[in-house]
Amino acid sequence: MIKPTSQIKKFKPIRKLGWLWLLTPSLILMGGFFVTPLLWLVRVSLYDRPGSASKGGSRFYDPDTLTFKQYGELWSDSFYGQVFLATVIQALVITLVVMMLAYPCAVIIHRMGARLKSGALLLVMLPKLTNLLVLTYGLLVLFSNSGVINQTLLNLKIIKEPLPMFANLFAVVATETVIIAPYPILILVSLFEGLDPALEQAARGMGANPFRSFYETTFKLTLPGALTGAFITFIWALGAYIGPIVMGNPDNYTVAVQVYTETFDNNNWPLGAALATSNVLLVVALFVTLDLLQRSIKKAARRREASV
Amino acid sequence: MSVAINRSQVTKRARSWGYVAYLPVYLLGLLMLLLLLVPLILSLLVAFTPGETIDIPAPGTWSLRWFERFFNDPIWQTGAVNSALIASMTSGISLIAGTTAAVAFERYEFPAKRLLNLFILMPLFVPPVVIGIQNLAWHQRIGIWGSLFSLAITHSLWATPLVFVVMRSTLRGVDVKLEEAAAGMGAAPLTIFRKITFPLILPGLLVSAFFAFIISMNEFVMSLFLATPKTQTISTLIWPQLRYNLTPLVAAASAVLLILTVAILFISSRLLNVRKLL
Repeated sequence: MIKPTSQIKKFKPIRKLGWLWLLTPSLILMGGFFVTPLLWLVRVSLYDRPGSASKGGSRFYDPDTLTFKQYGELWSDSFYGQVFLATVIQALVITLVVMMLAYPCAVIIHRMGARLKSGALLLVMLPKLTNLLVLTYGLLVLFSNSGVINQTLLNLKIIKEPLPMFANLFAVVATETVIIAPYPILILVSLFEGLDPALEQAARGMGANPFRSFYETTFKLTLPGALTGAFITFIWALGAYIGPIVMGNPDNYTVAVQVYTETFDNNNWPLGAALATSNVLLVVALFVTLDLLQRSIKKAARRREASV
Repeated sequence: MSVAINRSQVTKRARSWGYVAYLPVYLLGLLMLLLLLVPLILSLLVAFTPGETIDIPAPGTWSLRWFERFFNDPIWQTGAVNSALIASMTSGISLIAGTTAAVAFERYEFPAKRLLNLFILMPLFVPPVVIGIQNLAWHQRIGIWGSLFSLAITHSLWATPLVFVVMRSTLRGVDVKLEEAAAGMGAAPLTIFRKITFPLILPGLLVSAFFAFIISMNEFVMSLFLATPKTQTISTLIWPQLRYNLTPLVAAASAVLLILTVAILFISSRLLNVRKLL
């Protein structure tokens, strides 16, 4: 009888601090290779560009400097202002299109039978798991001037000139939609699955038409979740890289594209770092906004409940 | 009685209108599914073209010549080996980091749980370009730039949160009472894990390893920032071809990645119910 108690006594302290040991690998990974590099990125953005203050040093930045010069350049050169503006506008368009397609898509997946649903969910995850270049290549084959759609329509003599579906905003939005949409679709489907189907039936039973009963129950209940999906979409759209550079023209180039250009083509790491840091700050600001927004929505809902 | 009839008529009319109103919903949803599916099918088809240009092969003229080119080219071979090595390392790193964290979250109570959860998921919300450049600068500083490990540890930033999510949902499906019963009978924590928890979470572990492998194999933007001429992967080799020199060879390389991905996904879906993850 004594043995088990002593075992349990020995077991308990380990179990109490066990979480710390178990968290160590992930904390080292995230701390050492995500947070530290992020802080280092900020430091690099405060260096001067290489060679400008002589003394050799690094090939990529001048190691003895501490200056806000790069941010000054971003602020004063209207070119960068335009890039940021174009990125934000493009991201808004992408978010709108993604949500208009993702929400209905989640609705029809939610209504499928069990087997079909599993297949549809795999289909939604597939673009997220395959190579984005494979996806982009397929879209290129679909939309370009000599692509499948244009060739078919030309052969059928429906159009005389190829439709402009390439190297423009349409192509960029279409590409980024396919790349990003899986996130909101998966979020929305999981929300729908968690709802009580009896609610919509009750609304139907009370004489509401299918559309109205959907709107009054499912739609209103999933609105906060849909908002989260839209924000995640927006954050991803702000970081768009492949869509603009492969399917767009220079007018569609985003901050992300500019980060690459400054870093590698112009060999100016500090400026690339400053651009990337600004992008992160934008994302952080959005996160805070989302959190505040969700809190105020919850508070308003509680107040409504209280008044009823 | 007449009231009842009236009401059912009204409901009927309202219903049929409701379904018409639903039509756009179905069309838009279907359009989305098509947009997800069609590009993948197209890039698969082009890989089998017999000609020099990008074309959908006519029935009966399918050819494997571009696959032959792909598998015989030493540059692509090196790329494939690098991709496989990096993906294996990513699998190992993220399986350890993600699973241990999942066990901590599902089996222990500790302070700041919500915050730490967000901390582990964080890299998923940061644009890949930012992760790419920050790790480039950091790896250059600490001197691991240009190694395969440099790419693997960066890919792990995305793979670990995913493993973490999959393993948490797997562990939630394991009855804690089984573990507690074993502990009550005097088994040490490690014995409990080996004899009870591990066999039950094995499918989840396999799926996690596969997912991590796929993510690393297919990741592109971070690789573009971190790869040096010595550490080119299939993705970074496809990139210049896609931008400047469109041949069906790119489609063949894409098709190889796509077929591998689908095969791994298929095995995963046999091992674990996809819907359970949501």
